[in-house]
Amino acid sequence: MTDSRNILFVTALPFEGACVRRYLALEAEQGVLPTFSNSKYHLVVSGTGKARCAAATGALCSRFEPDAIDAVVNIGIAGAVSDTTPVGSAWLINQICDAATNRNWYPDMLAAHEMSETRVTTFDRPVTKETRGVPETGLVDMEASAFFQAASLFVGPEKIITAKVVSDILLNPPGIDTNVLTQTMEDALPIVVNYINKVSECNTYTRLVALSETHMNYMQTLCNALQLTRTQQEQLRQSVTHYVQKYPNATLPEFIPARVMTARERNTYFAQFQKELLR
Amino acid sequence: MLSSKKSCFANPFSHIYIEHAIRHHPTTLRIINGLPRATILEIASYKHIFNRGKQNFELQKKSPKLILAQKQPPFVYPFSQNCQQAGFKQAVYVTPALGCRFNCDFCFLHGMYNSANLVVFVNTEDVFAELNAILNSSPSSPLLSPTGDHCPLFVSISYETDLIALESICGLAGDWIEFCRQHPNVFVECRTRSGQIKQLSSPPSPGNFLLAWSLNPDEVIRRYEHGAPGLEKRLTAVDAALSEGWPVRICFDPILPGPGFEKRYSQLFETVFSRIPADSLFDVTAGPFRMGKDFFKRIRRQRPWCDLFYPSENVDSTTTYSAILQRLCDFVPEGKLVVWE
Repeated sequence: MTDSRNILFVTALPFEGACVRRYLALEAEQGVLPTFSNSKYHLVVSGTGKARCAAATGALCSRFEPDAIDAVVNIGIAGAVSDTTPVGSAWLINQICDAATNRNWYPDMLAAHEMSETRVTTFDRPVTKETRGVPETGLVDMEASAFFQAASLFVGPEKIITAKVVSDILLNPPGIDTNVLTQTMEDALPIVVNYINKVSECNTYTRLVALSETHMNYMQTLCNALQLTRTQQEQLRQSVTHYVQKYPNATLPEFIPARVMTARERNTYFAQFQKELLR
Repeated sequence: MLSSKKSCFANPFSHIYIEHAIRHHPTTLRIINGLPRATILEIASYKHIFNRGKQNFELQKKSPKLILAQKQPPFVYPFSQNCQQAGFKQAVYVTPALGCRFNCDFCFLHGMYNSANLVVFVNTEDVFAELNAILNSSPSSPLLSPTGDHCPLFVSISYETDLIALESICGLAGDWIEFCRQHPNVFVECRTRSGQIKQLSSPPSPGNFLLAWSLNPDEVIRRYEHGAPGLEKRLTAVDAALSEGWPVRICFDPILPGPGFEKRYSQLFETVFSRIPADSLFDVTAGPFRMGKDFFKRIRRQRPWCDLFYPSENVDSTTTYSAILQRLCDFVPEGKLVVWE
C-alpha cells in the first residue's frame, strides 16, 4: 500500500497518443514500447488490435504496485453504429462486449459525471454495417475488451475507464481525416480527464490509511530479526495495518531487537509484540 | 448522472443492471419507474456484475448500483442450526435480495459477498409458489416437522438484506405483507435497522408479519453501523409500528464487546423500556457478536480499521456479554426473552 496517484493511459494509434501526450505534457521514455510519462500520468501507445493492446496494458500496469494505480484509461476513436450518433462526440463506456466470445465486462461507474454513456463492442478487424454480429446500438472498436481484461489483472473495475470519441459511422464516410480526429480528441480530453480526476477523488474516500515506507521497513526489520514464519509475517502485516488505521499519526511501538535462539523464544516474543500492537 | 450533494460519487442507484429474462417483469417496471433518472443496462446474469473479482466494497457502498435479477431455485432454504428459530418448529429463510443499504462493520455480508451492489430478485411469485407447495405438502417434507400442520411456518425474509430499508425502492415487503394476509399459517420475520415504516401497507396490519428492529446504543451505531438511522429514529419507528398494530420484536443482536459497553447497554435498555413496555412486544432477542471463521478472516483483512476484528485482551467479551444479559433480564419478563447462548 503506497500513495495512489498514478494514472495510466493506453491508446492504440499514434495520433491518439500524441493528443494525450500534448495535453498532459508527457516526456518520451526509452523502451520497446512507445511510452511517455510525467510524475503522475503515464501513456503507452499499443498499436491496433486486441493482442497489442493487452500486451501494452499489461506492460504499463506491471511497472507499478496495484495500490499505486489510481486509474487505467483506454482512450481512442471508435465507430458508431447508429447514424444519429454525432461524429466527434465523446462517450464513457459502461459495458464492453467482445464480439468473438460474446463476453461482457462492466466497469464500476462510481464517479458522478456529465458525459454520455454507451456500450462498445470489440471486433478483431474493421467492420461495416454489413458485418455479421454488429450490434444495433453503441460503438465498435478493436481494443476495449482486451484492454479491460488486461487491466483487470492489476486493478479493480472502479479504476478501469474506457472513453471513446466517435470517428465515423461504421466506416462511412470511408477514409478518416486525421486532422479532424485530432481536433475531436483534443476537444474530448479535458472532459475525460475531468472524469478521471473524479475517479481519483472517489478513490481517496477509502477508509484505509496507506502504509508508508517507514511502516514497510519496520515490518521488514522485525521479520528479519525474529526470522518470522510466513504465517507470522502475515499476522504482523495485519496487526501493523490495524494499528496504523487506529492511530494514523502515532509511531509504531518501539521494537527492541531481542536475541531469540529457538522457535519457542521467537513465538513468545512475537506474541508479546502482537499484544502490544493490539492493545 | 448527478452527484450527491457533498461528494464526487454518483447518486446511489444511478445505474440499474437488469437481467434480460425479467426486463418486462411487473416488479422490474415498478422499480425502474421509481428511478426514472437511472441508466439502465441489460445483462445476461446478475453474477456478471455481483461476483466480479477485485471489487472495492467500501467505495461501492458510496454509490451502490441496483441489480434486478431472476431468482433460480431453490427459492426457500431450511434454517441453519446457527440461526434463531424463536421457538418455531419449522423455520425457513428466503433471499428476496442480496446486500444491504447500510454498511455495518460487523455484518457477515461483507465476508460473504464480493460486491456492495444490491441484487433484488423480482420473481417473488416463484418464492410464494414454493412456500405454498411446502404448506400444502405432506408432513414428510424435509422442511416440515411430523406435526407440521399445527405450527405456523416461520419465514425469515431479511436474512441477507434489509428489506424495509429498500421498501421505498423495491416494494417487496408489501408483497410479503399481502402474502401474510392470505396465508395465516405462515409467520414472516423481517429484520431491519430502518427508521421508516410509512411505506408499509396501510392498516390493518397482519398479525403474522413480524417487524424486528435491531437496536444498539447510539455510540455503537455511530461507530459501527455506518449509514444506519440513529436509535431515536428507530425507536420512533417502533412506536409507530406498535401503534399501528404490527407485532414487533426488539433484537439486541449483536451485543458488541468494548470498553465501557456494559454501562452503555444498560443505558440503552433503560431508554428502550422506559418508552416501550416489554409486554407490548412480541419478544426480545439478544445475542453476542458472532461470525463464521472464514468470514471473520476475510473481513479482518478488508476492514483493518475495525477493532471488532482485532480483539484486545483488555476486553473480556464473555464476561461483558453475561453482565449485559443479566441487566436485560431486569427489563424483560422471562417468557419474552430469547437469548442466543
